[in-house]
Amino acid sequence: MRLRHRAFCALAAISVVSLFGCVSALGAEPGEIIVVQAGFGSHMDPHRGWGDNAHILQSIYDGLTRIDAEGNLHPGLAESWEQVTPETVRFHLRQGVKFHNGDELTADVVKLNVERMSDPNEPRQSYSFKFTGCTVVDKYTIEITESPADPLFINKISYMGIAAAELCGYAKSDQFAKTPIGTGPFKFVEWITDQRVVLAANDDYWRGAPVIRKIIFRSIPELSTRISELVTGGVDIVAGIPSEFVPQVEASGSVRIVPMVSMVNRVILFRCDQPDSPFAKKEVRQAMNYAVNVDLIIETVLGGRAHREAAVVHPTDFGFNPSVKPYPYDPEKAKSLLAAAGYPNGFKVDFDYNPTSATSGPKLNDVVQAIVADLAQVGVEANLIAYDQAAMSSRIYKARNVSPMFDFGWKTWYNDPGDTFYGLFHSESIYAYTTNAEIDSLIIAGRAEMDREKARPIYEKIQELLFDDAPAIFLWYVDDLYAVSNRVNWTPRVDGRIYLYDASFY
Amino acid sequence: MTHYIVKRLLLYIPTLLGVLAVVFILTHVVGDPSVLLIQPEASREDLEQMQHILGLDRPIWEQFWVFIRQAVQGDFGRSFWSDETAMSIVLERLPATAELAFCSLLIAVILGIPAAILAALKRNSFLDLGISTLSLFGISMPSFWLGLMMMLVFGVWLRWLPISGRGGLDHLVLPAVTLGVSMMAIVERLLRTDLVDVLSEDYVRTAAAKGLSGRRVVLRHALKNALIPTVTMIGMQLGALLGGAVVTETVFGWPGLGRLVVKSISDRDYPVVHCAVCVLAVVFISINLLVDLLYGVLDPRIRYD
Repeated sequence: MRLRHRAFCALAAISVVSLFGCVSALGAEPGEIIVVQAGFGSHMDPHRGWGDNAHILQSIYDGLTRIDAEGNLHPGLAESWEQVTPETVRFHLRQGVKFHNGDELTADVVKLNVERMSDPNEPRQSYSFKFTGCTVVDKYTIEITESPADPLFINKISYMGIAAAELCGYAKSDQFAKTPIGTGPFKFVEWITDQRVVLAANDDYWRGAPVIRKIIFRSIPELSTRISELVTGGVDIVAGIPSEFVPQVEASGSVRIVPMVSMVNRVILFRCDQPDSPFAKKEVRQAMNYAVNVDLIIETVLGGRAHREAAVVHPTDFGFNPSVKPYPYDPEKAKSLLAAAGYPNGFKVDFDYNPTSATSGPKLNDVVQAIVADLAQVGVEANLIAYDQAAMSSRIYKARNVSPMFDFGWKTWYNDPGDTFYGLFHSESIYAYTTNAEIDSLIIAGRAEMDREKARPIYEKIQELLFDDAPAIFLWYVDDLYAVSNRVNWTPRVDGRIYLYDASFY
Repeated sequence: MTHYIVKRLLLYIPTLLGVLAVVFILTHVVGDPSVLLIQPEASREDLEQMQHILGLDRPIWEQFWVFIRQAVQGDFGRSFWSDETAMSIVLERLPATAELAFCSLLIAVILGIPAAILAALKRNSFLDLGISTLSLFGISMPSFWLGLMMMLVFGVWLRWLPISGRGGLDHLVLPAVTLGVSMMAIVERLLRTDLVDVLSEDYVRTAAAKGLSGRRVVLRHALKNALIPTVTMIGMQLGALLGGAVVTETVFGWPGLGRLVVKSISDRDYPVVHCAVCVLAVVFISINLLVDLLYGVLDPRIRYD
């Protein structure tokens, strides 16, 4: 009995010693940066939608072209290119670029990537690229054809990561999660499920070795836990800080808040396609824009961390029309427009929204309630219904049975609003419920125009027409708030990717 | 005994088939993963193509038949998102979940049973009242609140323990205690009540009358009989914990099954949801079987013939 008692005491003592003996060091080692995100994506395959692993994939893989932090185009793995025909571009590859496994980058490898990307039997993002041909001209020259011609092809191809030849033989993505091999500034070390992805500096990187020696991406789903880790110095970069947490984060003294405008514009879309719906009438749609006090919502609900938009185009976007100003708040005008349209006492309407989307933005629950309250002031009784991402997507573009008004966020890429116009407002788009033939034809013309300067007046005209036609309540672009450790010198990118090649330490 | 176990094992088959059918229907009712897998620029044809790739354009009965045929062989297919086999994804999370579940169970048992014995022996004393009050707190506190408070005190203010993630034993303390506290409180409440009843039984008085020591009377005679309802409850709690303690896993960034299941449901990753539910059903049924067998150990009057 006594022996057993002693054994128990010894075991307890060992447990206590081992507990405190293995308390892991908090925070990053020298040269190391810890980035926290809510969760990881499911794969490391650069030929599929990048999703939540975008930061990681961009660190491992390079594209033929490169987009910088401000959204400007630069040469990437291709040092130059020329447009052979409107559909075909000839890329001249950089010589001497090595993959992380030591293989050399050649035109043959790029061709394997294009072919894998075009595989119709796998869920690739091939719909972003309609490749119709790929020809190797010589070891370092390749011609890629996309049809129909897309003036933004050169920009878009920057986000097609080029993987090593040995990976392109795998049709499925699972091998990529084990050994992702690219040419990027960081090499893959390990991926511990739901915990961390570790990358190490690629000292042979063709743009020079990065200053950061190691990046640890951690997954912490709970926001307050991320903030706790941040204020105790356990991590260096956290994106998506809600405005109400800013004072708490800044009070820690070791972290600063860096805002960067997100290119996600928030709109409340109307179904203009139902003839018996109030939203079939332009006056009603305009009245809805006059009825919502957008500036007040930005100031109060969003803590001032958002920028108004007039017709979905951000001032830094190509083709921005400064003469189109946002709707002013004018409930009286809204009422008179509603009366003129035959709704002097307003109407009832269902209003779908999705607080779980990657583009939901902060405080969407509060935002939609504020909008509903404003609409009630002019007699419009909106009934809010929340859906999760899959249910909402299914209602919008599969079943096509979404309510007459619904919340939506759309991210504008490459500083060009062409896809945004199309996605939100072209009657053929899977998201849109519009019926304006003039806007339809201008959107098609503007997106297809290979001479971008000729596209500018078309885009400006589209904004005037959208403002007048009001197929949506135009809201804002929010500021993404990043918390960055004071020891790290890094600025966020306009595309929201956390790319640490240019980062350094103070 | 063997006959009983074989009979119970055979009962796994209809139960699992039922679980498979229900989970298949539920996942197909709640939505279509192809709408999440397409890119923003996709056209209606792209959406149809995606449904074709995932096999979702086939008649529902055909999909069900293929699913059942593969599932009975343990093949739930590959994740729509990562292409890894669903089984490997689920099994990868099991160790973390089991580690957390067993540690919190250990905390609950090691602290809950002695507390219940003390409370029952000193019935209606201040000690009993104190233990009961603490248990009430333990049961009433929502685990996310307790977790965040402990994180604040031990992680942020005192900095004794890591805030999140899985690593050494130190990482286990906060999530295991968070989960263990409420279970400990339930163990204490239930066992105390049963012990109080048992302690007033004739055979306990007889045991005391024949001169056995107090410790022997309580541990050998009273506790063994009072434990049966507690063992049932612990078995059910353990089953639930192995299903993943979603809230605790989320708060502490613990890489367990609960998070996986929630993510897979919101991603509409059917193969992973199917596999996880099926594995959990097996775990749950097995724990129930073990609990039933344990009854016989605790109370020799229970026979399995």
